[in-house]
Amino acid sequence: MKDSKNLSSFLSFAFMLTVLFLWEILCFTKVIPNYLLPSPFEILNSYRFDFVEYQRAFFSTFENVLQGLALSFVLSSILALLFSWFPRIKQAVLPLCLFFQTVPLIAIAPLMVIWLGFGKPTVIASCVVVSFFPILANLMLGLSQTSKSSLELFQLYRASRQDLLFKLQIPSSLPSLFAGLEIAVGLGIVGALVGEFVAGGGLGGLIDSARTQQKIEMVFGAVLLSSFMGGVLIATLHFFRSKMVRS
Amino acid sequence: MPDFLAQDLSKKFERRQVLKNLSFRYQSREIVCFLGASGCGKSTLLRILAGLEKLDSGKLPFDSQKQKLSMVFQEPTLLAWRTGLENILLPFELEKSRLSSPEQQKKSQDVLDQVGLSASADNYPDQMSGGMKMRISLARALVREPDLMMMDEPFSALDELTREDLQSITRKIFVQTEAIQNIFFVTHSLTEAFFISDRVLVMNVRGQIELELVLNFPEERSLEFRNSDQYRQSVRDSSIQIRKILGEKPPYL
Repeated sequence: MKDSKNLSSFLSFAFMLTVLFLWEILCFTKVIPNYLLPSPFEILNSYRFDFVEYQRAFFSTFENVLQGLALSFVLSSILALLFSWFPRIKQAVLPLCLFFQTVPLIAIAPLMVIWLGFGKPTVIASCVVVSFFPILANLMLGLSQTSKSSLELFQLYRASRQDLLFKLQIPSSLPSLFAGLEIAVGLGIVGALVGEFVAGGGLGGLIDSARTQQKIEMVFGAVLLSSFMGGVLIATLHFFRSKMVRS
Repeated sequence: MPDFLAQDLSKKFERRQVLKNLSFRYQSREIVCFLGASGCGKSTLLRILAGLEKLDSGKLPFDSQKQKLSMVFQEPTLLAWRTGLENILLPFELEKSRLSSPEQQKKSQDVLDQVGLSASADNYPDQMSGGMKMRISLARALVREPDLMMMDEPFSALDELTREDLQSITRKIFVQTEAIQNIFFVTHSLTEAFFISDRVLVMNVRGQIELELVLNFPEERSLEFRNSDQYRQSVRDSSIQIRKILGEKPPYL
């Protein structure tokens, strides 16, 4: 079992190295011109030369994504609990949430600049718009999937509403919540980047300005950093999930 | 022993009449077993006794809301994020028990000993077998020393040896625990009903008690009793009549 896991890790690492090597060869031999695809070496060099710019952009986006996700989490948790306690509110509000979810972010991003101005508020709002619904939907699913017999057990022991929520419903909805958060992380980064395209700043702004300056290696550098950010956030979620969720 | 009477219990779900004027008698300190085919309403009856369903009409000999009740479900219904011991402590937490924490711990350890799982107190449900989970579920139901205990086909999903073991444990604990007035046990297994109970009430598909058997078996029932002629003969003698009520084919006993 462990050998098989080691082998698969080795194979995926070897495959990645091979792809990088072929990529470098294709760029070095000019089979693909470097204004279309910079070589891995050029991207690494760009990190070295523009380290401060990358660092500032990365942490700006990272901060906005974290704040956006936190806001989404709080809003969707409040709504999911309200929906679970008061089905009438769910019937009234959920259709609007669903409609809101169908509006493409890219179409309303310019509107957000008009409403919220350039900079942080628009970026955070873009992140919230796309990451809010997956958390809400998964949390609602988790809260509604509490087993009937567990609910009856709590009823039999005359549990208070507070106990029902904190000792049963929330713990049993954690797997769904984490599934929602994983989706929200990926979408939240996309949302923040779209927000930065229109409102400036962060990795989105860096991608946009590097594109206009024909600095394609910087575009690639920023794209890879945004993927890295996603990886870090997903790995953090996996860590907390492994500590908090038991099957 | 005083007689208790549940009288004319009726329950309808939409158009389906599940229980119709069902009446039965029982005495204190008895394990009362409801035996019946699937869908005859025995689980509904148990849920009514537990106060989880409301009666359309009829009268129970006790008020479910005022009794100290416990229930063991068909599934162990353990909380996956709590250890075995923490699951057993749950009733104390929910009913805001006046017992001090050390007393609660002691009672929990005692019932864990009774169900033979003291070594697994700190294991989580995903580290336990089906039989271990059911023992924890049984211990959780016993820990608050209920007046009445409801058991809804609790051992039906277990292998035969574990099932027999848990039947013996349940019987033994009931005999040793004076605080438990009655256990109401639902099953569709004839042998289980005869081994565990003092009174077998056989339900027909119309949601009525068709046959009542009062078993004059010894209080303590061990493996020897399971292999005894008295037990086997009783099961054999009643099986044709019961199987006819259950709508099953002739027995192979």
